[in-house]
Amino acid sequence: MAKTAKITVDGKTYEVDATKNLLEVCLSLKLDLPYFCWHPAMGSVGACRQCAVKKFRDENDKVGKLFMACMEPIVDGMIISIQDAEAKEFRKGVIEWLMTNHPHDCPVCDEGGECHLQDMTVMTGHDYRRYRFKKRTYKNQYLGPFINHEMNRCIQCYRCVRYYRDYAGGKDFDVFGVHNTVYFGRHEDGVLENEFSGNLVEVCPTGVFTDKTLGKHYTRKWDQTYAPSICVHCSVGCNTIAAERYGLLRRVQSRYNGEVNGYFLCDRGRFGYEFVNSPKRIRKPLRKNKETRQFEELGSEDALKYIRKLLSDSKRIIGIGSARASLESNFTLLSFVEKQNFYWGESDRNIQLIQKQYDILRNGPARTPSLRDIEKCDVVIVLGEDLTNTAPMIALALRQSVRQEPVQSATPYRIPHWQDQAVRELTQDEKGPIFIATPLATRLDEISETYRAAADDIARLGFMVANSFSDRSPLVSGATDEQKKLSGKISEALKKAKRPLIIAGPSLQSEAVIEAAANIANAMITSGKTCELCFTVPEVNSMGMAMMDITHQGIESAFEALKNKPADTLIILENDLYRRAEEQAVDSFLGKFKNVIVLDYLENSTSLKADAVLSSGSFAESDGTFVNNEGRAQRFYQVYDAGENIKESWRWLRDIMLNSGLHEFGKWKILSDFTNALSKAMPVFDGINNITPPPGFRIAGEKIPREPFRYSGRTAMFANKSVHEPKPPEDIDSPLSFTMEGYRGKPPSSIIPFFWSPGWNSQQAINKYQIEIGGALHGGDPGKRLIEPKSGKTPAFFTKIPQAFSPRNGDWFVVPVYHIFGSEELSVNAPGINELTPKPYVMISSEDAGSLGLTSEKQIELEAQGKTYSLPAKLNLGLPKGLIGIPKGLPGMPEIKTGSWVRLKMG
Amino acid sequence: MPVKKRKKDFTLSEKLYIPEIMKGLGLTLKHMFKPKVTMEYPEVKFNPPAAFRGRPVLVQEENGVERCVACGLCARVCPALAIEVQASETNLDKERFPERFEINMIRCIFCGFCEEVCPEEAIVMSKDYELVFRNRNDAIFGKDKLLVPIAKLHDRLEFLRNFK
Ligand code: SF4
Ligand code: SF4
Ligand code: SF4
Ligand code: SF4
Ligand code: FES
Repeated sequence: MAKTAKITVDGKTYEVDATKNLLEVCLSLKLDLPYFCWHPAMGSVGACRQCAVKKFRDENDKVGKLFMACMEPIVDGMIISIQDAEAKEFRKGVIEWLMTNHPHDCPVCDEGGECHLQDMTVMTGHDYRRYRFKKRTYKNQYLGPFINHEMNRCIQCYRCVRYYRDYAGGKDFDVFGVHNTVYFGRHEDGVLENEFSGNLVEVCPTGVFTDKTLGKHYTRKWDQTYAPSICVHCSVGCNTIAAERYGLLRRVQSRYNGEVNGYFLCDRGRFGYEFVNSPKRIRKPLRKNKETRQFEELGSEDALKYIRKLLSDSKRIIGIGSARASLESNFTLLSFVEKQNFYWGESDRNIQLIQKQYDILRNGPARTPSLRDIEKCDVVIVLGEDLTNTAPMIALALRQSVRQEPVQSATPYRIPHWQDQAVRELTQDEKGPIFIATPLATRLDEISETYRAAADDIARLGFMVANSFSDRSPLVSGATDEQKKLSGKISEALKKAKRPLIIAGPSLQSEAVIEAAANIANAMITSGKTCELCFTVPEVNSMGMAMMDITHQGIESAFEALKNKPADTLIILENDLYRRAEEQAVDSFLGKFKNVIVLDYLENSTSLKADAVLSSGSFAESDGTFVNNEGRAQRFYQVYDAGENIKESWRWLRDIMLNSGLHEFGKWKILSDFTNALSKAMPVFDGINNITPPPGFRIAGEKIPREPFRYSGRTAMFANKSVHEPKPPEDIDSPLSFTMEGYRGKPPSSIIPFFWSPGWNSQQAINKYQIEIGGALHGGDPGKRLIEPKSGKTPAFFTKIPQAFSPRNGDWFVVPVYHIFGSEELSVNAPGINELTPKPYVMISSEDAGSLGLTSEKQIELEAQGKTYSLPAKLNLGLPKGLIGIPKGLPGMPEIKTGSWVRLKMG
Repeated sequence: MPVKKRKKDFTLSEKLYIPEIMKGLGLTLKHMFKPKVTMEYPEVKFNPPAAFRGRPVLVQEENGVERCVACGLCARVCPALAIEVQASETNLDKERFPERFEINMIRCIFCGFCEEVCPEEAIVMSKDYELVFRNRNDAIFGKDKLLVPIAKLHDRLEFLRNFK
């Protein structure tokens, strides 16, 4: 606590943080005070008048005056009253007029049962309607596949527009109209453009914005089974709450983690979950009939027997792991096939890059920041990453970083930083320095200074900046004027920075970019400044894979190795090899094995080629541990029991091992046995077992229930199948139970299945789980950082500076284009995300298109890797000459290597 | 110790039996000519008053659509956890309808909480008290058994309007 003060609330004296406002302080003290417009992530504007309290001049003042708590700075010796009769009456009155136009449609409102407006209405005691006139009504808008709009329910708190425009930087949403007819929405129907629009669902205190995907299979909050989970759709590893009923995943919400995603999620993370319900799910083990080449379903026992038969006469087994599988699953496969036969199922190139990043973080002096740390940085350099599309929540965090510097300028005017409106009024459009160097325009360009270039030139710019801090980073010769000017500017900004940050990643497949980023950080630190270094990685557990003690060989190495030393059985763990390497190469690789065994949850090109498929659990049916890009190990738990045919991959693999006579693995029974074995075998993972309480953990002798205490229908849910109530499934892996029975209080922070507190049914109940509002959860924010910087040692500098990029006549250099909706393997199977996924295309700079006489949408023939593809063209303004943008991972899009040269022919 | 006379000791006339038997036969004879009060169930059915809480049923409007909007409140309030509602979307004004609505009638305790909490007057306690099942599976009432035309429920709806 920075500055403290003593205040008296309803006769009781408390010591509180003086930099906060009165509302935050009261909530931190766990007092119930209603509010609407204030949001912990967005500060105060004092618009709703709901948080009124009485403030007294001194002890002798018995009358007092009403003030809005959210607008009151803390003053030492302050005396206030929440319970004061007049204050209570006022708050009740405010709700009453907010409710005059509110429709009484709670029964059909998706917010019902988890509605902040309901909670506050009950809290203030307003229970009878006196207004007898016509209510105002609105037309609703179509806002895309994610968000439902029902404007009649609006109470004009302005949270949505403040979130969408001010916090998330959206443009296509605003407030319209005046007086009693203000309207929150778009200027016309249409898909919300911002990639973080889903947070409106949680930000809006009423049912105006609700989750459309949930609405399609709606279930009330109290009827869902929850589990603490981790988003699997990128490397940031946002904490989520996943919810289920009847074996159908119903929705994903953000699970507050003060160090990671805080209150928010990106739309890929929030709405990508529907892949779990996809018709492409593998729900039973499969065996390929040798004659018909068709899959036949098997029971789990039969499947294991069949696999035992396959394995019994194999001489050598190759295992391919995956960065979308948990540490435990990869480790189990590794233990089975042994190190020399285990390959990390990623391209060799990516592995080199990720490995390099990990080594830099592990051996270097620069600290890897958490998402929360990123928000607090004041000068940021991004090299080569289109963050909105590769690590979305980092992009949202950067929108907060740009405010760091301007917000400081409010201090001399004695404007507290939570005074949102005043601070914005003062700082206007001022932005802190952010520099983004990428080949293509990014969403963040509007808040940054940009540099459009190929990877090598981006790296050169980085090296120039590094050199300006330390000569140990080599001098770049032959820099252009543009580069000189920009690098000078960047160095200037970095010198003034209080908390600078460099962000890079493997997207451009360029080692030089990563090395340049490391050099800047190292150079700054050796010159006596601080600097943080953030690397993105391709998948949810890529960092975890980099940390594992494996050979770090990729797919191509596996292809090569097989040529020298044949093997007959291949086990592929949650990996579609066709996304990693060229089709023919994979075809011929798979063709060389007698048996191909795949463990996965979605049908894909690889699983179709398998002889046997084991139905693994997705994140919703599995427990495990992921390590995010920060190096934070985080645990996720299964939401529901999917029966004996769907198991965690590590459990399947253990069963296979036992079946093959490896009885020593019989002692691996529950998750913690696997995790323990892992951290014993690989000391980097030391302590990951303790990031959540052990399975034997109980509070007052009870487990933590996954279901709210008023979960309904228990005796009727499955009665149509059998009237004999089934015995609830048991969870042997975690301290969570699958039912509503258990400890009703607040669970430890790392295993919170859902947020709820008496009187607080909405997500705002998070207040009650935090030590201080907006800060850490009680018991500390979940997860364990595994990578800490090495100080003291002089860091190694990279010395190889790449040549400047020079375009070739007639050839085009491939740069990747990532799409938040479409580039990620799993989420494209969610119908909503699929709807927003672009069709395959190639991107050409407008300049090049002009000289080729090419127009948008015209088909062009593209010659790459000896093949010709016909694709429609998209023109791009910023793309430098000689580069061609190839979208990554889109369904139907051929894989064309980043960094290769391709030819174009007009169609 | 002297023998105490107990109340239940028979009097002389009782000890003689015959007068008492005659008395009893007389009473029977008298009742043979009095009007009957026993209801000849099942030949005659009992028509309960509107306040009676028979099995909960779903109100079916005249147009054949159920009133229920699948809000789930009845399921939440049911102390026996006997109601299961699965919501789905409809183009009708009411937006939602129960795709599945099931009551486990073995569990139902006829408390009427579901009726009390329903914001739509869509589930009401009927006059139906005949619940006979040959096996337990028959006791799971789906929409087919729960939906009752509104015409048959006027009494109860009227009662609710006056007394709820
Ligand atoms: S739409 Fe929701 S968030 Fe926006 S002003 Fe209305 S109630 Fe507030
Ligand atoms: S940023 Fe990544 S981890 Fe976070 S919600 Fe989005 S996809 Fe998931
Ligand atoms: S009458 Fe009571 S026990 Fe029966 S279904 Fe309704 S709420 Fe449940
Ligand atoms: S409370 Fe009424 S409207 Fe709601 S689900 Fe039950 S019967 Fe339907
Ligand atoms: S929360 Fe204080 S005025 Fe809205």
